[in-house]
Amino acid sequence: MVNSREHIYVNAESIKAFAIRAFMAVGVSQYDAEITTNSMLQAALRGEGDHGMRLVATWINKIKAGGTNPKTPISIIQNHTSTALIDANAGIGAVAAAKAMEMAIEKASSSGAAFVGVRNSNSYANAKYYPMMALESKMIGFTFSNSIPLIPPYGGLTPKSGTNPIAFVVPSKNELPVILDMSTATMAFERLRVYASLGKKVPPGAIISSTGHTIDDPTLLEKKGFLKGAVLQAAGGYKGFGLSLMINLMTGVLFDGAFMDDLREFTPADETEKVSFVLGAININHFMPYDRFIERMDEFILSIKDSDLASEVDQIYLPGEKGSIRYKARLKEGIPLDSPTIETLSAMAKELGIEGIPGKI
Amino acid sequence: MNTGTNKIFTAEMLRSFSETCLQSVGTHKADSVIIADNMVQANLRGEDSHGVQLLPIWVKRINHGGIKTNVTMELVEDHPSTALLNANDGIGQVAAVQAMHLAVKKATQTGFALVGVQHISSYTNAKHSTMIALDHKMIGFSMSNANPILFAPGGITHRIGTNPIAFAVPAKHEFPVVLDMSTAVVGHERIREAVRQNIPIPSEWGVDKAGNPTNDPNDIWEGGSLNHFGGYKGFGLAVIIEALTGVLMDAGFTTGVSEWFPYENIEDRGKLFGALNIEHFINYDTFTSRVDTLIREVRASKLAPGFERIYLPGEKGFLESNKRTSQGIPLDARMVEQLEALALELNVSKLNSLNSTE
Repeated sequence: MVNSREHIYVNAESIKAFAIRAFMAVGVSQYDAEITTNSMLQAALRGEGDHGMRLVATWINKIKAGGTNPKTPISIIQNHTSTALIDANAGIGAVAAAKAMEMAIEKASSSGAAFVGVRNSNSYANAKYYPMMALESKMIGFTFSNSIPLIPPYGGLTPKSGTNPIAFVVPSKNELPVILDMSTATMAFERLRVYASLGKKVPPGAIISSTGHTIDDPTLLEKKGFLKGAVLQAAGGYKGFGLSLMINLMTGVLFDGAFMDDLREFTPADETEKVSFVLGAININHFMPYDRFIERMDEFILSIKDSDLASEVDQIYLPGEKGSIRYKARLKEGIPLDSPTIETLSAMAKELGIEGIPGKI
Repeated sequence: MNTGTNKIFTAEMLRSFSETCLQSVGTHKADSVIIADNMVQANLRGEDSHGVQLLPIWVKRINHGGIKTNVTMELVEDHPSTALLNANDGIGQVAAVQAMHLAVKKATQTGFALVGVQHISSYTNAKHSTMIALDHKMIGFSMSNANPILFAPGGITHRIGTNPIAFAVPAKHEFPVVLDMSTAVVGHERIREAVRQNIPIPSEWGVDKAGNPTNDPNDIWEGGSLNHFGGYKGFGLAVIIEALTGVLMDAGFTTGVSEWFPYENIEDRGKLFGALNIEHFINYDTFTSRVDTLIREVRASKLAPGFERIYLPGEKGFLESNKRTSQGIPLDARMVEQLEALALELNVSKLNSLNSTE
């Protein structure tokens, strides 16, 4: 057995084929299994392990336990020129999000902008994956989602809003696209889980106890039921909370979906998370010629980078740049998987009776 | 009356005085009403930094040609759910109101609309135009780029603005939820105030010109920078706002956006206004009831030590606005003096002649 500090490297193609096999073994169609896998694989390649391959097992458990409907039988509740509302009917978040993004792109191609809502879904995890679909259509994509309450309002101690991710993807020409993908808390929930699973301490200020004390050991919270009683701090205090609240209002509240305490997390596996999210598209050509826009984006990016640097700083990174650089490297080098992930995925393969990855899983 | 004490004015007096001053330098009557309303709304809400203290600046900028009063907005692009307007360096507050009305009109049909404005000056009180959506049973939002006074994380050259963003969501019995924030950790006026009072500031607020955290507000003033809220998160949001405004709207971006001084500067900002039609998702009354539920849930949070209650975004402003509507708007003696000097310069009736009460 490898120790927790070591990683083995698995190439993207083999882990992809493995994950697709796993999803198909629990009743997901090949098409949907590919979307779901690609979303996680992208996170893994970009170095965001918290939304990476570890989630395959989590999501499959949820399908097996009944919290996620593997068929993702979406229904369209409302449909207008530039908006739509989809009920995911407890399906896979990645699949519902990809469908909503396709709809948003199609609507924005004629009307200029679109805002498509999804309710009653499970979480989509790697938020940026879906708005990145807009890049091929020469559009700007965006998304945000609600999630279980984990951050208190300014001046409060009771969690009242989620870490609610928000992502924007903007194309450029020769520079890397700008990809903002952030939670409205100082630290994303999934990253906390990774810290907990590795027994790592979190930076001070990221979480406080329900009595207002700083906690640096997420495993303490885990003992009380997974992170129950954790209070995450909003990024930038009332600003992060304000944004998180707006996301709540413009998702679950607006879509007649679940909000606040009616939302569920990954566990227990037999319950649907019931999250709501938005997928949006902005048609660049309706404002200025696309080619001119991406040239201007390059100019903007280079202007930010062309800055004198503080000591011990090598360069300025734009949002998403580090991840895009890592993505290219990992396509060649493979994806490092830590031992808890390998053990989890191996156990899952055995249970599902599917072929693993020779010599690895 | 003593110097140093506040004088109280009604919203009506400040509006009327502002309109007169603005008209005396060539602003059309209807436009002067919008600028005055934008400023006085801020005063009523207790956000005095965006109130009538800006009047002398607007008047001078109009006089020096930095803001043009005799231009019309042009429709550059027009699609079912989007439009691009050219404000031709006209009045930002007026262009903002027109853009928001257009967004609402489009969203009435299509459900969601985005209207961009290029070559526009500051709207300062962002919520003024954004809240128009509330009158039409919609959710409104807006964002703007700004002159670059912040460093990118790791950088020590001013490269990006405080790029504000605002949202307005209607409620039923509760106040609407109105978030109006810059992407900087605190407003620049907090630094100015700390410099004036010569008091230290928290080291999280900003860095000196070499990029080192500082407790001295002068370091930020003299070549340093405010931080973005939440570090790279606020910076990331500022970058997206810049891309969606200056870059996408074919207006100035980063160092292409100018500050207000010297007064003849053309700001050349880009702005984006959005409207979301609630009825295209859910019955409006059901929605506002659900918003009330959420607001009350948030307010029911256990309090952190030292806090007496929880305020929702924008709530303090509404409470203050109710108070100041009945009790009047206090202006300090220095502010009143500046406005009186302005009246003298423009040869219009003095503010005090409007029967202020103490």
